[in-house]
Amino acid sequence: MPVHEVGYRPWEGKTRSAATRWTSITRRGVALAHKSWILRRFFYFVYVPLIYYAPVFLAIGLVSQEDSRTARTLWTQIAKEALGRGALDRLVTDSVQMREAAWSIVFFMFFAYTGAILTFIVVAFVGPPLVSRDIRSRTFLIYFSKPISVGEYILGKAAVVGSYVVLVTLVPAIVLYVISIGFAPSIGALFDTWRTVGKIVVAGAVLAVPVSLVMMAMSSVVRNARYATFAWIVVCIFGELAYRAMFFAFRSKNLAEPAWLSILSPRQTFLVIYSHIFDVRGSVDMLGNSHRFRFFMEDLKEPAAFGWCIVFLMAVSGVSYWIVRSRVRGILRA
Amino acid sequence: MILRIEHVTKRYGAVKALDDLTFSVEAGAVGLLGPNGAGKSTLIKMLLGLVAMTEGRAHVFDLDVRTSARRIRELVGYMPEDDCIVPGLRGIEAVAYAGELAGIPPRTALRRAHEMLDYCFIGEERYREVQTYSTGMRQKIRLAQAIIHAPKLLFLDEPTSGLDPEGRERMLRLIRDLSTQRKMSVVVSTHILKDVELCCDSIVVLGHGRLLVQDDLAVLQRTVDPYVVARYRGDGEAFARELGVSKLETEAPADGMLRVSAPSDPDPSRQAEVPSLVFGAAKRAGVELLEVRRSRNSLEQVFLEAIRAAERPEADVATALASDDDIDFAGPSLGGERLDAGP
Repeated sequence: MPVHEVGYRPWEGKTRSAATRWTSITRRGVALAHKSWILRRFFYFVYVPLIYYAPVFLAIGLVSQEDSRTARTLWTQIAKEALGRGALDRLVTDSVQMREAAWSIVFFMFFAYTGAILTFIVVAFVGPPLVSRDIRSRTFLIYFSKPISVGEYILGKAAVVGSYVVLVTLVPAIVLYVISIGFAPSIGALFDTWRTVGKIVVAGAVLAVPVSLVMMAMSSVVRNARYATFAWIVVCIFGELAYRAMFFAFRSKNLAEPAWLSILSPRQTFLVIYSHIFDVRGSVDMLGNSHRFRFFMEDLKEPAAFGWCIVFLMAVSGVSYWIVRSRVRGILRA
Repeated sequence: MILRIEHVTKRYGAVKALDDLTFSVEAGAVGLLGPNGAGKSTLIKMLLGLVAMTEGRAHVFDLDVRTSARRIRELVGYMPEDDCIVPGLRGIEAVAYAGELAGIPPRTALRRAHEMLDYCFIGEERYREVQTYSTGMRQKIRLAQAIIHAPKLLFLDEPTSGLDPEGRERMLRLIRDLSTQRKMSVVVSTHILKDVELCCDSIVVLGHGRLLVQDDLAVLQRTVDPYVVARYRGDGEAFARELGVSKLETEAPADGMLRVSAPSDPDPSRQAEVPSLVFGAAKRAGVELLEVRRSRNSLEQVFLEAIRAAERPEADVATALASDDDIDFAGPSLGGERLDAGP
């Protein structure tokens, strides 16, 4: 017997608030996921895209402090490459008004392209075992023999995926925002652009919530996590392929694509929603429709798509929550 | 009273898992017995608030299961039969996690996890990942997870299944310690009747979702028609004669063994005198007594008779136990309270 053994002692201390107990599930889930060496290696590369985006924000901040018609610095070149000549001129002319528009477009590009790819990868690693592992090992009984409700369980598990999504999207975006403020001509930029922080947070939440719930639903209907990974990849890749195929089919017949077409592709769905969050149309109008923006403006031609996308995301989130809840309750009854 | 169950029925479609079940349980160690499909697991899940009852009311510590399931789960610990391990967690993490889920602050949960692992004899393995544990270690981990938040009532589902004899003995010792020294009420659901005999004070036997038997173990093991078994060496006829002089009836189920009783005497004090009369008769007859023990029903007999009685509704358990057809006097199942040989 160890010398420090004190035997069984009763405990009558104060318990934590019931409202925060789901955080234990999240914390343990994040720590468990981080034991995967693949995920740890992946995180070495998560912030690599900042090497591209950070100089763009630096350039936007610095060029507004000089005359772009005469200056030929590295920063003006970077800003011109990112936004186009017309946008650069307007940025220099009216830095306060144009800065937020320029930032919105760059943040939109970050979330819609870089963030989407990183999210696709990180969710494929983190999400599949979350519920399927508990089904296989019947760990449910450990959770639900303690004062934890099914809703708290789902919240705690979904927050594991959500945490990783936030780590690869929201956190880098906030870092970019801080860099942008740091290189703005004056601290007044903070007051001019405070709405951008709100947009970043909303964009992060809009991505994290449905993605987490969908992944949870996939994880809850299988016992082997690999099937959930496979389902996730199929939904994302085949959804995109189906969207592209139909998009070009409509274009080839000189027909306008229908508003509902965007919901076929998860990436396109988020692209449409982000364009509204960051008011991309308004920003492009302000900066001038540069050829730099053409590659995403093509996908945003149908204004009614936003309604379809937002309803679709809400429906998918609701159905996913219902699936997980039914599945967990069903297993408990068995 | 720790459990109060009133006319509880649970239906799964057309199947009744619990059928108008009514009983109550006082604090202490209770064995929950029943064949497969008797409704034991359903009853425990229902008391934890995991499964909704179809009809009736159930209370744990006077808390209504329907409305206070969360509060009940704060007061109750549950050790499931299934593995229930989270792969990737180390032993200490798994137990601390259970504590955190129960609401213990993380640092305190970690400290208590260390204490619980030591208490459950698995402290040496605390830093190993749980999926590498043997069956016995997993049982101990589950016990540590169940008691980390110091519950007032502990449900144990097959706590010794898969354990080797030493592990089983340790587990039973822990259960006994929790119920006697730590004042924790324990409900042990098991098929191993010997475990219940060793660590419980009373039993509840379920069959087909109904209550078949509930009583203190000591009462149930008392025979309806008590007798004393005497093993001796010497003149059996003289011994029987001397016992007859003392107005005791004898029967010789085997060589060197007598079954001695005073069945016609309703006076309980007279029944209590039987052993001393046996000692006196042996002395007078000049036989050497090897063993004198009061007869009792083995728990296995109680259990089997309860199940049989449930299948024959017209016969009650007491009647069934009164018939000793199944008792093998010479066999190892002969149970009893061993008495001092006396002078």
